[in-house]
Amino acid sequence: MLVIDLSAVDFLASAGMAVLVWAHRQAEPADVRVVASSRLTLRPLQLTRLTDELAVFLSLPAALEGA
Amino acid sequence: MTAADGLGPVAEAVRKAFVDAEGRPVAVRVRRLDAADFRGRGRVVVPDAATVAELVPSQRVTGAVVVADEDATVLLHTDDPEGARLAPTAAGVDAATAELTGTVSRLRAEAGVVDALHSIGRRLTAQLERERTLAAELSRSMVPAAPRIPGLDLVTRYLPAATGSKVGGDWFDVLRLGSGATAFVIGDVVGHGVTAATVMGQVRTAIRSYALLELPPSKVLRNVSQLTSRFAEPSFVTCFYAVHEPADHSLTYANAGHLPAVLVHADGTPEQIGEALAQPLGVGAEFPQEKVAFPPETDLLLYTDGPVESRTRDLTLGIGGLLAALGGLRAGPDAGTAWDRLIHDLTGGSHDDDIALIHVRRRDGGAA
Repeated sequence: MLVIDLSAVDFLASAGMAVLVWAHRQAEPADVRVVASSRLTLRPLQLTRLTDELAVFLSLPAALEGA
Repeated sequence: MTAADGLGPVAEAVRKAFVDAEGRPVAVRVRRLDAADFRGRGRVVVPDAATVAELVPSQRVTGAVVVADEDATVLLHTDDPEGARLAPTAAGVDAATAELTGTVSRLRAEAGVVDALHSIGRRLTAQLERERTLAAELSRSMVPAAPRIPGLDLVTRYLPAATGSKVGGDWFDVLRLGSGATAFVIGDVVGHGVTAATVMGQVRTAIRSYALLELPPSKVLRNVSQLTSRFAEPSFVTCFYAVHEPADHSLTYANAGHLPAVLVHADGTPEQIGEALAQPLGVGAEFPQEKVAFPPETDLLLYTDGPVESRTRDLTLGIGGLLAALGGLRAGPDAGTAWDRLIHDLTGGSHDDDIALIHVRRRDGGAA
């Protein structure tokens, strides 16, 4: 499992989102989770509907639990 | 001269390196760089460790130095394995700025590191400038002149990034189709520079081809997404594609991960359309389309994120600011001039990303 925690990120443009998709589509690790806890990171993921594909969590504990 | 925490050897090297014609030290102020130093300075280039090793194999790199001389030439190096090719990513690199308060006539030979760095800095600055020029040229060569369309007033803008080397990924198109309909395309390729500009050229051509076949928007984007996903380099392209059908005053659109478009109704009320309909080209497989009425006195705005998003501006607030400004823009007699002013206001006159937009107004009674 790989958790990518964007909690401290205050700007997420398409370059960053492309990397998230790339990571998600790698064979290993099979389970990639993204923590996007603020509007600054969540909003771009929603507009591009990457929330459909990526496992996005609102907090690090939630991502670690997989809930 | 002021001491800078943790910059002892770097500061010392800089101070020793700059002397006047008589060999006397030139007053140099050395301080730690912070992220703000990099903003809006397109010519700052920090080579990564591998580049430095290649260019000066005999030098051991111990820190980063940035020196701005009278030509604003920048020289620096870093041992950060991540390097920092461009400005904002350099935050946190152990770096010093030396501000020269006297005239520098030569660099002292024994300070070979700094001497070598100066030449590296110039080379990288020149490389960066060449790439920026090439990318800008590629992009500009593909900027269409918007055709005259009966019944429509069009304002289009394409402004390459004003700072840094970020030019290259945005485009727009306005296409008259054989049936009398008009297709509007706006898009943004991830990344910047020559690679983004060439990907943009391929995607743009593919969209034009499918558009001229008059495939519906969902199929245009689906086909292009399949093509894009097969490019040698993985690509991520956002695109809003809309077709105006004058016969039934309609607009049919699909959206591949792009910002929503804005429909401004005759009473001035803005409405965002097509929000989060589908994933970007190269990522998504299905691109559902929607259809809305597009009667006379209605405006359509398609835009890229340049005017609304930056490292210092929240996207949501940026879109809000744009929507709020549209009313005033519509009221004026000259939409082109109003747009130039609005872009200037929204970006503070220094946009750090490409800007592309299409503003369409349905003229009263002007159905073709």
